[in-house]
Amino acid sequence: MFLRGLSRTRPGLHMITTSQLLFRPTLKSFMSTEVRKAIEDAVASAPVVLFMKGTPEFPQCGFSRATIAMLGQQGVNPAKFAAYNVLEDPELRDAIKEFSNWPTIPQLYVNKEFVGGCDVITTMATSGELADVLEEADALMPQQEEGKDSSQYSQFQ
Amino acid sequence: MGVVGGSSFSRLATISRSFVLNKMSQQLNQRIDGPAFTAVKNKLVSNLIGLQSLEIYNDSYKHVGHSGVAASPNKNESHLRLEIVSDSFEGLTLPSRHRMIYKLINDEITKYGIHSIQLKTKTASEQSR
Repeated sequence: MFLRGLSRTRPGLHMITTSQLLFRPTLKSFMSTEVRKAIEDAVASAPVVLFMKGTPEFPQCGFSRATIAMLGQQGVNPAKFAAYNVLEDPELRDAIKEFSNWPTIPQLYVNKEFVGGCDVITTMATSGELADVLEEADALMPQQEEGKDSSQYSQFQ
Repeated sequence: MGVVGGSSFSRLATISRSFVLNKMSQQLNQRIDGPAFTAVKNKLVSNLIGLQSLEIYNDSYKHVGHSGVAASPNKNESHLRLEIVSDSFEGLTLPSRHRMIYKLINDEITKYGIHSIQLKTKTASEQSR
C-alpha cells in the first residue's frame, strides 16, 4: 500500500537503491520532505495505523505478530485499520524510525498520535489503557451482535 | 562382556562430551557478558539517574534463524531484554520512558547492530505494587 503511494510520488525510486547506499548517512539524518509527506499521509490514512514487518496475514517478526494479535483481541475494526509493511520498502523502514523518534518496529499510531511499540502496547493492553485509547478513537467493532467474536478475530489472523 | 561394557561406556563418554560442547555453544547466545550487552549495561549503570535495579536477558537464542538476524554479523547478542527500575521514570508516559532508554543506548545499538530491544520500565513504587 505504502509502496504504491511512494512510487506514485517518486517514480523510479527503486531503481536507485545502489547509489542510495552511498548517501545513506545524509538520508538518515535529513529525511526528504517527500518521504515525510508520504509517512504523514500513511499515518493519517486510518484511525489505527501499524507499521510492521510483514503483513497482518503473514507477520515476519514475532513482535509484529504479537501486536497484530493484541489489536485483534481488542476488537479493532478492520475498516478502521491500516498496516504498512516496512520490509517492502527500505526507505520507509529507516524514515519511520526517524519520523517517530523510535528505533524499533512495530509502531502503532492511533488518530495520528504515536502510541508505542510492542512492549508499550502489551503493557497498555494488560492495564486496559489500550481499550480506552481505541474506544476513544471509535476504532472498535460495533458490539451489538454477541457470539460473533471469533469471526472478528479471524480477520486479523 | 567387559569389552562390550567398555565400548558402550566410551560411546556414553562421547555423547556426554558432545552434549557439553553443544551446551557451551548454545550459551553464547544466552549469555549477557558479551561485548554489546556489557556496553549497554555499563552505559545504563553510569548514566541512568536513580537506577535501582537492572536485569539484562539475552533472548537471542529464541530467534536463531529469524530472517532479520540471518544477515547480521551479530547473532549472539541480537535480542536484548531489559527490566529497569528507576525513579527517573516518575511522571513519564511509557513511550517517553522507552525513548529515554533508547536515547541512552543508541550508540551501542548502532555500533553492535542490536536487532531488538524489549523494555520493562518501572519506578520503585510501581515495582512493589
